Amino acid sequence: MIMNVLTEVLEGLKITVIGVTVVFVILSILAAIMAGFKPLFYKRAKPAKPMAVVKEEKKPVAEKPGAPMAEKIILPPGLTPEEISVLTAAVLGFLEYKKKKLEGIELFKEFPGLENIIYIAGVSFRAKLKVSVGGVEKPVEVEEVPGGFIVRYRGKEYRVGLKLEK
Amino acid sequence: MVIAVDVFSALAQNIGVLRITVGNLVMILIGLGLVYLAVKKNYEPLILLPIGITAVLVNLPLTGLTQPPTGFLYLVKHYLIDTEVVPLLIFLGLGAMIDFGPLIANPKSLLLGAAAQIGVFVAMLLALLLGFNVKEAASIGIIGGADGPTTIYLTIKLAPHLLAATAVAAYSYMSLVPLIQPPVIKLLTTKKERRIRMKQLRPVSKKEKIIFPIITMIVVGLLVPSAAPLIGMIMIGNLFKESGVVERLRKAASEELMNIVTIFLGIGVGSTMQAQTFLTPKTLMVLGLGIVAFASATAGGVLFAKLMNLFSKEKINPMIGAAGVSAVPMSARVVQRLALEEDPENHILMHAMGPNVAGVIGTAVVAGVFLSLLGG
Repeated sequence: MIMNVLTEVLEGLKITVIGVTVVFVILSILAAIMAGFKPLFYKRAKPAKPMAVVKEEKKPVAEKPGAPMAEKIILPPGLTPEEISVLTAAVLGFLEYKKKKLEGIELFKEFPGLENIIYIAGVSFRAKLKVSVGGVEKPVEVEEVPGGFIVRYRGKEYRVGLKLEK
Repeated sequence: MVIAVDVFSALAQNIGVLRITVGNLVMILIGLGLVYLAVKKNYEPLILLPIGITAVLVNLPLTGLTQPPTGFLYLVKHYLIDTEVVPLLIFLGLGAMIDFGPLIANPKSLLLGAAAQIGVFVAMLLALLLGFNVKEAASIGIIGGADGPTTIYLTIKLAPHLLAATAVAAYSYMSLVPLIQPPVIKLLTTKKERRIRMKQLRPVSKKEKIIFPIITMIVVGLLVPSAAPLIGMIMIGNLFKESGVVERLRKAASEELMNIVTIFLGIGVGSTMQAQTFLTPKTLMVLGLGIVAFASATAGGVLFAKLMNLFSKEKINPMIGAAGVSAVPMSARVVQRLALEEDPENHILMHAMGPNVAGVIGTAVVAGVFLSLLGG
């Protein structure tokens, strides 16, 4: 019995030596080939030639009253890359959903900024969405609260801020 | 009266509840446990859910689902799993999803992917000491590669009776990577090492990404022909992705086909979890050795990265060696999380993705070595 085990272990050691050697040799060959990729295919971008500087006098531009607002999503710190992707996709998906819902209402067409302040009147949106991250659909729940959203994902709640900038 | 007794006994013979054994009940509980882990804890749900629920189904007596020649689960296992069609198609889909860019940008990552395979051999030697034969030990060791399809592919060829145990161990521990790896990494690295920042990777051109799968397939295919099916499939899938001219094929391989074969893989493996074959001391040993395999693979990668630092001018964060176990992308994410814990501005995810995908190639090569030395 012990002899059998010893024989098997010896064979295992032989396989280990061969296996480790083969894996390192093959992957080293691949590494060497790939190291050759860099000089062959990769060219660092040349620094751009200095261009003649044309001085342009800046004219003060009057801010248009109805200029569109850019939305900046503010995520809580310490998130994993997956959580960042899911929360960003969830908020963007929610904004799209909300926009579509309000599109049919004449009042919001006339006053586009109104949708950002209707929560003052106690009207808030909540939606269950499926966001696709890396080709996988993930269910999330987004609820609008003053100054941002509460996103529920995998039983956890995240507070996501939204800043409107011109 | 005699007729009534005959009818009753015939009926009794066909009622499952009267035929159920303690083993069946234990397996039903194990199956439900896997379903719980998948649903509640989100542990590899795509594979553990079908495996778990199929394990429950096959342990209901008299269903005939696994009976040759026409039982449905028998047909699935016989024609799709035993013939290795499903694991190879999974590799095709995997290839269509993987980005080898970080590996091409930093070819040294390949060595870390190779180093992590040491765990495979450590687990194999331990299995031999515990009395498993060489073929069984190789099938157990490959769990350390943290690559489910490769584990299944090799086990079918070398030790098909261990298929359920090795597959469940591989997929369960893959989902437990965030618990298994951090203590090993922290044990083997200092705080200073974990804070090492790495230079940003260079951009990789489309041309390089197209040439890489072709060259890898040819080199590995010529040197270890028995690894060619696995490497070939992953590289074909990757070429679909990187060529950019067969978007429909890429999508089909990585989405529709991948989903279909995952279902068959899950129910095929689940169908092998019958009480009489699964409830053995060997299964417990396989599960125990699986953890050893994962932990030693992690250690192998980290220690080799530290070794590389002794000879290299540009220091690498040794934690990225742990991503050499091919659980893509979990182990790379674990490394990224640990790096951020030490230094919130140290983002090493892309550096960790290099060894991570190198691990996939490394595990396939090891499987090929096992097959050529031990026969299929």
